[in-house]
Amino acid sequence: MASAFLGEDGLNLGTLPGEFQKFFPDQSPKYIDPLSLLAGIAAGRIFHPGDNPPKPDPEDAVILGTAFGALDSSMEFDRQALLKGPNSVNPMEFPNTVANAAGSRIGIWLQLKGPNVTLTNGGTSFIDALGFAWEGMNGGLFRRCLVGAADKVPDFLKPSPTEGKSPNSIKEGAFLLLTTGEESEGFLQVENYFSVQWKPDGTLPQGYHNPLNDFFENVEWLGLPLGSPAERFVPQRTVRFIPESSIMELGMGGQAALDHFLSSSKRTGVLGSVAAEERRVSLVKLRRGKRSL
Amino acid sequence: MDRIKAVVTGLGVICPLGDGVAPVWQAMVEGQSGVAPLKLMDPAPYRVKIGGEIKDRRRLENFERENPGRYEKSSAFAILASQEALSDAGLSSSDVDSSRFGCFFGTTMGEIQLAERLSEVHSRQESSALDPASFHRVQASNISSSVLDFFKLSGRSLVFSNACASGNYAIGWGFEQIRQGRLDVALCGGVDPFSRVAFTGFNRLLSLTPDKCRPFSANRKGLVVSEGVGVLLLEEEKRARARGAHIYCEVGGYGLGMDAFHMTSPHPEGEGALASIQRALEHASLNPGEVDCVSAHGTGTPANDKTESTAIKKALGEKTPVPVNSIKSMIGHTMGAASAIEAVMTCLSLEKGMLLPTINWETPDENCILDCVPNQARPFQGRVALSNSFAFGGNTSCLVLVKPGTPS
Repeated sequence: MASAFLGEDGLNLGTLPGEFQKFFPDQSPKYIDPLSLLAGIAAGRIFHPGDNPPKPDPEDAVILGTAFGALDSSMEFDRQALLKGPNSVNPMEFPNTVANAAGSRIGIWLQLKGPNVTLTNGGTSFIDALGFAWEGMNGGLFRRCLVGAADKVPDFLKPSPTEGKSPNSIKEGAFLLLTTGEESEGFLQVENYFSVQWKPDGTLPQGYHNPLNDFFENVEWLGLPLGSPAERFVPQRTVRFIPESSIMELGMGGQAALDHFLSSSKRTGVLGSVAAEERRVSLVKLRRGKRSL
Repeated sequence: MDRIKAVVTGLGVICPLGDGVAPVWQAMVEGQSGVAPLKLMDPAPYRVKIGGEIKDRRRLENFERENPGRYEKSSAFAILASQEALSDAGLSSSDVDSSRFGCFFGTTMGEIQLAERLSEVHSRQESSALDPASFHRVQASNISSSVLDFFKLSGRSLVFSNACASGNYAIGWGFEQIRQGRLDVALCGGVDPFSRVAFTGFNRLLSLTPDKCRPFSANRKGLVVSEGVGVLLLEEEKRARARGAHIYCEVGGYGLGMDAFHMTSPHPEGEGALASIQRALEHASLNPGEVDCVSAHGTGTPANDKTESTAIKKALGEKTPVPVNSIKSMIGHTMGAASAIEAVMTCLSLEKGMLLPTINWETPDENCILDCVPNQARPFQGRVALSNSFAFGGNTSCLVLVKPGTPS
């Protein structure tokens, strides 16, 4: 079960409040930051997709990955305090300055009282959130969860065109899946999770090669940014890379690859993402349920 | 099959009462306060002018001299406390198998001092002064990757940002990784340097006390914004015993909850807090009657202390009330570091048989817990401790710490 609300070429923030209220008509979008609105819309779409929607369960967990977290809101809050004076900023906007605002609001709006976890792990945040969800379910912390990623990058920080990266190439938005640890037709199963920081010389630390080889057993498909430093760790026998995209997915890293996997006929795949500056690669091994999604 | 256990073998802390576990413990046993008029930022425009700044910055300044421009403030704090925890555990980088190692940190505001410098640049409309490296360095994930980078370690790294409960989330996850047999060693902690954003925000919410933090006292007026870092080195028990490591305590379990009520106000009946305590006890296979003490979230705000007291009474029963202390009375609220520092001090309480005081307690509040270890440390013989931590957004957490040798 998937939901996406994306704005690859610059978000039209003006449309968010209206879209949000389609799903949460009793909630005022006033004073709510764009990241929370995006995540709320994505969550709303999961539970209102049309016929026979899943119902929110009070025990559901929320696991949200984000590279930039609340920086867009916290830097703007601080800038307003600097420009107008600290006693002039609106206290209603202070809750927007914490990274867990988006995940928490999903819990509040949908009355989800399971563990509510926000991970801020750079470019691998989405994959790490999936890994966290899988390991959390294995450990009995929760049975079902909304898992995904959301990002809104402060415009001020976006790389300029002169640095070779178009400011419009950054993917901002929210993407959520409803996942369960139980075998069920039509669901994607996460079978394994692997994450490591590679060494400064570009090699894997001792002890990682065998686990990584095991990880790729019986894998038909791989989605990992081509040309990424992590590519060298992947055993030769795996069959496909996603061509390198000009889009920087940041916290949603791996989302485009997941879409590609879902549209393929492959039953098993590895979804990967890289936080190159931190030398980290994170991978999840996926298996498609018996019935086609 | 034996249950895999995770034990604490190393501790590190920097907070307004000192740099290092030993001086901070001693200051807390004496009931000292690290709260003072702010010096590192100008409080003139603010209603409240006190905070909990780290005063002993010698090690930090040396570190920054030796590593100029290489690490941001949160990362620097995290590295220094990790250095103490690793040394305390008798481990060096070469003793750690990277494929069985993890580094998990929690933070409320991330690399907030860099973000605030960038806001200053933005407010002056000087985008040309922006260092492109800031794009990556300002992300909170920079913290754990910097720790790995500094110690030339590898392994799993993850940063949790669940506001003021973040440290507990990181410790809980490190414990979970060891319990599930994925890792042998996990460096877990929480960190937040002093944040202008947090200070401004809590000022505007009128959540700050103008003078003292008085948790559980009827005349409490609010919290104190502070800074700090706490780190625990978690290790698989058999590995720790095999190498003869000193074991402070065992992590028995943890529980996460969610109020699903309001972004800034706790649930009036303490629903999320209660859920996290109950889940932690269930996770640790313990009965409420087996709990000997609680390290409270205890911020000193009227709402938190009342609802936390309600949750503790519901979870543990009122007939034989356990002592519940709040070290925030001495160091203020160190945000994402709070739960990690509280976990460090709770480990030491179990080991040394000494309950730390809730200072500044003046007047009983019938809505609050009865025994908050008022004003003076005291000996105790407990074996099981809970460490609560709650957050903006209604995210709640509870960690169970158990003295070594306690029968399962």
